[in-house]
Amino acid sequence: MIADLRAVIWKEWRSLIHGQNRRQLLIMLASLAFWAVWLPFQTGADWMTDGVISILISVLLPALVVAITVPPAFAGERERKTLATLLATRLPDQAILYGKLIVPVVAGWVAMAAVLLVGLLVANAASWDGSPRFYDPVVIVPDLLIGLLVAVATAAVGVGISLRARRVQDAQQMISMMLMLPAMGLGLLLFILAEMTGGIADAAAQLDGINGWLVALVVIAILVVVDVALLIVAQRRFRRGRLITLL
Amino acid sequence: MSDIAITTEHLTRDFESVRALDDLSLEVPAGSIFGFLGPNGSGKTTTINLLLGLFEPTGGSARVLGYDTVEAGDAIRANTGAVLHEPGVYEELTAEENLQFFGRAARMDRVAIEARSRDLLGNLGLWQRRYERVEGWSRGMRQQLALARAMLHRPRLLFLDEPTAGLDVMASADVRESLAALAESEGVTIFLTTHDMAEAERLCASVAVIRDGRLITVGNPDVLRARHGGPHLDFIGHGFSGELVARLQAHPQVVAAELTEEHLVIDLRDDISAASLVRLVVESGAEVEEVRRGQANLEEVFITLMNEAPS
Repeated sequence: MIADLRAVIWKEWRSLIHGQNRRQLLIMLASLAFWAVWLPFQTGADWMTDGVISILISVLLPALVVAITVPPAFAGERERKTLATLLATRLPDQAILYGKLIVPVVAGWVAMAAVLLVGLLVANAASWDGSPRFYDPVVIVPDLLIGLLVAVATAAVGVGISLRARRVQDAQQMISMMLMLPAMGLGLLLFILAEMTGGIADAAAQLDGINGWLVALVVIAILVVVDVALLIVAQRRFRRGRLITLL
Repeated sequence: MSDIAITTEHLTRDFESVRALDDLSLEVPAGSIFGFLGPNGSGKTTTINLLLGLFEPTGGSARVLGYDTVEAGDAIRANTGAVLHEPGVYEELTAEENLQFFGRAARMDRVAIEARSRDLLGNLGLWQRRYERVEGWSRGMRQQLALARAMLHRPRLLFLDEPTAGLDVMASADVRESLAALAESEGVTIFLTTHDMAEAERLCASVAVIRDGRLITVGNPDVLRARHGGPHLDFIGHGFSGELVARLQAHPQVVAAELTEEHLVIDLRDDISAASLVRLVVESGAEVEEVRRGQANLEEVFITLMNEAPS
């Protein structure tokens, strides 16, 4: 299974670099530069301590990168008429599925980690006071874990959408729309919280009072459960007998 | 090793209310090229997908290289190669990377993949272009690469689903030549579906004809020609009258006589002497310039079978 997984990852990595979505990836890299350089340069020392900015990065960046890179791996196989040939190999369904998921997930997570790292260097340079500063552990550790879990969740949702989509572009648009839903839900939650506590500032103060590690642990636990559920669904859908009839 | 590569018994597959394959029973001898012929939508691709264990039959059973298609699909796919209608090569990768991937997928080591790639691409005239991305290649070259990919892990059986469809005459000839050479040098069994009857006639030791999911006939092309497409006489000339055609149709050795412009075609019941019929035509006053005696080719047999078979 490991050798099969490595074979699929090897192929997916090359397809990602040389594939038709190269232009999209370049645009993505340009936007990463904005997140990694311009923002920390503007915020200075706050970059390392502001939990809102880093949580936005750890949620949005992996999700966006995965939303762009997952569809070519699944809908792309069908669009380019290579899926039947892939299914006719001896590769197990699970090796194909997870091999195709790992590359976008790693790409999304590495992009996020790179932005956080470069941002740290830029923020230090912009607000240098003689000693280097680092992220607060209660911010950076959950960020890295949440980023990974968000990438996995987006990829698993992306598989389901990509298998139904006729074209890569359709799948990318659909996944992007799906990503809006949790973001809108979060916004709604903050709005309700603000209404209940008498304003955004008060809501933030209320949140500050809560143990950060505890909140992170709860969020991570929920995301783990969501990821496992989504992966089980993706695994059930990604079966040869089903896929071959979709061609 | 068994002499039979593929056995199907009453193999049936339904897609909701549509019966795509109906009670298919046949045997494919090992080491031969077997043609599976039929019009579009007749169940050829469904049969290949069933034989590869990609989905399960609704009824009946099949064994490929001794493996049951339902229980041992993995083993079947490990021991077979396939070119399924489309070349199925990754355009964004080079030819060498394509073979690397499919070699790794077949659990071959790097050295074995390189050695085998050199052999196959060398034989197909693609070795010098192995570092080129496939996106710039013609369909014919991609199809050649697909053949190399399918043969890479030395499969005992090769499924080819219309390998020359969409290719021009020269590219088709190249693919056919490669196919025949590979089959001979590797001793592999080939299960070939095609619309090209000349191709089937040239390559296949035996063929099966399928329509609406049902097997119509199976056998050696020569036997099928003898069984379903009898001998005929083709007269070229002028002055063939309706009265002559009527007299010929009444002749006990004539199955049918048809007049088209300057051709009078007479289908014979048996391989009889043509002399009496030639005399009859000449004595009717027709000006005969040429007489050809022949037998139906596989395409004519195929058309006859399609017209005979109930839809």
